[in-house]
Amino acid sequence: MSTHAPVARVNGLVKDFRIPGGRVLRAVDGVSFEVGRGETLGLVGESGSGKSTVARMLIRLDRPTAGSVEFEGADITALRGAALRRQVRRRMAMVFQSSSTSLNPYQRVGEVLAEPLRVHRVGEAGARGRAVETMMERVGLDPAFAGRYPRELSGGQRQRVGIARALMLDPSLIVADEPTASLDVSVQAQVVNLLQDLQRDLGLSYLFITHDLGLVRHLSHRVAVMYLGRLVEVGDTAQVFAEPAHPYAAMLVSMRRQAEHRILPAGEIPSPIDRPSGCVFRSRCPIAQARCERDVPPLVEIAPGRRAACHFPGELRPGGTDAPVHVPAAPPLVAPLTSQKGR
Amino acid sequence: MTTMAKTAGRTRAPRSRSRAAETARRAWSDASGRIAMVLLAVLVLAALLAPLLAPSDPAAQNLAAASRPPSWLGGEGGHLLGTDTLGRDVFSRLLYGLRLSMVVGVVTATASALFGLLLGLLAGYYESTAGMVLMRLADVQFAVPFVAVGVALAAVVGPGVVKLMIILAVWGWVNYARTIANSVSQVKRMEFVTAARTIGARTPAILLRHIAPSVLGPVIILWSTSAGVLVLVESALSMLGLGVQPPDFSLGSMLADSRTTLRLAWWATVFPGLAIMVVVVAFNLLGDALRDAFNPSVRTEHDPELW
Ligand SMILES: Nc1ncnc2c1ncn2[C@@H]1O[C@H](COP(=O)(O)OP(=O)(O)OP(=O)(O)O)[C@@H](O)[C@H]1O
Ligand code: SF4
Ligand SMILES: [Mg+2]
Repeated sequence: MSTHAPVARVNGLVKDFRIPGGRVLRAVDGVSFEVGRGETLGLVGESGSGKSTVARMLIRLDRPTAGSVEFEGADITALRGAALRRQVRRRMAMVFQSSSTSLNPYQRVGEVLAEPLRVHRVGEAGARGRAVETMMERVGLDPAFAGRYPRELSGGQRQRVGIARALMLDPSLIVADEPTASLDVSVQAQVVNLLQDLQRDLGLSYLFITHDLGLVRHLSHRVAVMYLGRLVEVGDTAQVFAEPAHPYAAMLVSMRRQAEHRILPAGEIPSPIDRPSGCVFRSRCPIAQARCERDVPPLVEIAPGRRAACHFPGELRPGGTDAPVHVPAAPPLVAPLTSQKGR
Repeated sequence: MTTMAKTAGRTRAPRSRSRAAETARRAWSDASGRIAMVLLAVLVLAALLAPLLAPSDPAAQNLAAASRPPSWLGGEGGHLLGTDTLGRDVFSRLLYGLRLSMVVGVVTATASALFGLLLGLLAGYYESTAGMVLMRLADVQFAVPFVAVGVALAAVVGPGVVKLMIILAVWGWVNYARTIANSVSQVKRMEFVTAARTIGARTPAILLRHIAPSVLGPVIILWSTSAGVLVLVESALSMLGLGVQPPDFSLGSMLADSRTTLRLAWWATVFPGLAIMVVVVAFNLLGDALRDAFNPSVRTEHDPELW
């Protein structure tokens, strides 16, 4: 996967937010990674670690304070206007967490799906209508729903609409920010399966943000772990889950092991406004040394395709073995119109 | 099996009722909404069909038939609402006066709503720039009573109904802008607006297609209420001689003309007055019904977070 040119790459991304009181909150601090073609990169990390902010910079919703974003071989960091629309908006799409707030309540499903085509002047009205119908069928929605409003659909159906919208322009990269977090477990599995089918059939790449470690393990080829705005570990999913190198990754991964092997975080979660000196993780790290307070550990290659930001990589090892990959048990696709209205 | 479900679905899932149709249906199902709609339909028809309905020329004077009471009070000459002190048929004048009053109310309210919506959208979307300036301006305008400024302004630009309508329409933006700016600044942060940006929609499309529909409810409610108020304001200003100029006349100028001769022909004053009242009440009732129609108490059927 990594032999080909990646579809997207971010280099040294930094994002500062000005907050009340004239202070500055560094939400993202020097994040670099790439997403390969046809690859799913899982991005994990606790709430507030900066995952969404990274995603928003990658898809050019937020402007980085520093660093650059490359996409399909071009630097898109400073694109604007027509160039931004052509090189980014047409080629990269986003799937959102909440299926109810990410759809305009006053647009019918058909209008929602035709809009990307209309905005980019793809085809004429008739062809757009057919494209919408085809796409609805592709994501498992009855085309008869085109005349419905989002509120008349179930959460799972709405999320399919959100996925269909993202696919309308045939993008190469989809940024999915917790796309299944608002769904029931059974519906989650359907949506995950759909995303995997689409990737296989269309060669899509995903940046997949989630809190669900089981989901990351199941879905992503590689995983990137964030902590307090910094990327602390990146690597092949199976390897990271088997032998995490960074103590924070070790803690996360240990949550999937037998109870006696779990490593529980010590200390308090530091505030993103008052980040610890040296290693950001040191206030909670069980193996922190004096050096960790002084020197910021850089994200360096510790094995081929494996990077970690720790002075003592691999020294904190969770015992036991990684839980088997949990394949979400998807109930058979309900025929779309046995309407799950009542859920 | 899938095919069957689909076929069944196609017949079972027609295009959902549009929001406009749904709102109208809700307003109609409300008693006062129904009364308002019927009243307004009658008023609009009467105004539109004035040339057909008026028994005589509203401007034709006939001093020989001056100050005749309504026919049903025993007045001669069969004048339904009597004649004024110049012998003009009050019913005919009422129809034509209603025509002008309705045009003033509806056109001014519409212009003012569009203007207020536009400024409100801009103020809410560009919160820290245009919004700051416009909201300061709104504060100032709120502090100044309209009657003072309106009268002064009308005195400067001179009387005339079109000038008056422009002043009223421009002045009215402030009623819309604040409410709308507040809603816009909330709606623009919603995910569906972000979604529109990620597919490449331009700012005007985002404002009109994605944000405006969410703030349209209050605009339409205010439009209805303000149309009634504007009919009243026009009447008041016409009585001060600032609005409609002769030979044109509205319900307000009919009142103004006839009030000095109230004792000779009270019907020439009372019926235009009643007509103004009916117009104002009808628009207000409609506004109330629309308010309920836009905020139905049971809205949690599908999605409590959003609806
Ligand atoms: N517009 C903003 N203004 C100020 N601070 C912000 C803004 N957006 C995000 N932040 C802060 O930046 C940090 C990172 O937020 P972000 O939403 O990227 O985290 P996240 O990893 O996506 O969290 P979650 O898992 O809860 O979605 C948080 O501390 C958040 O409070
Ligand atoms: S650098 Fe030090 S404090 Fe940071 S994770 Fe590694 S061992 Fe822990
Ligand atoms: Mg987030």
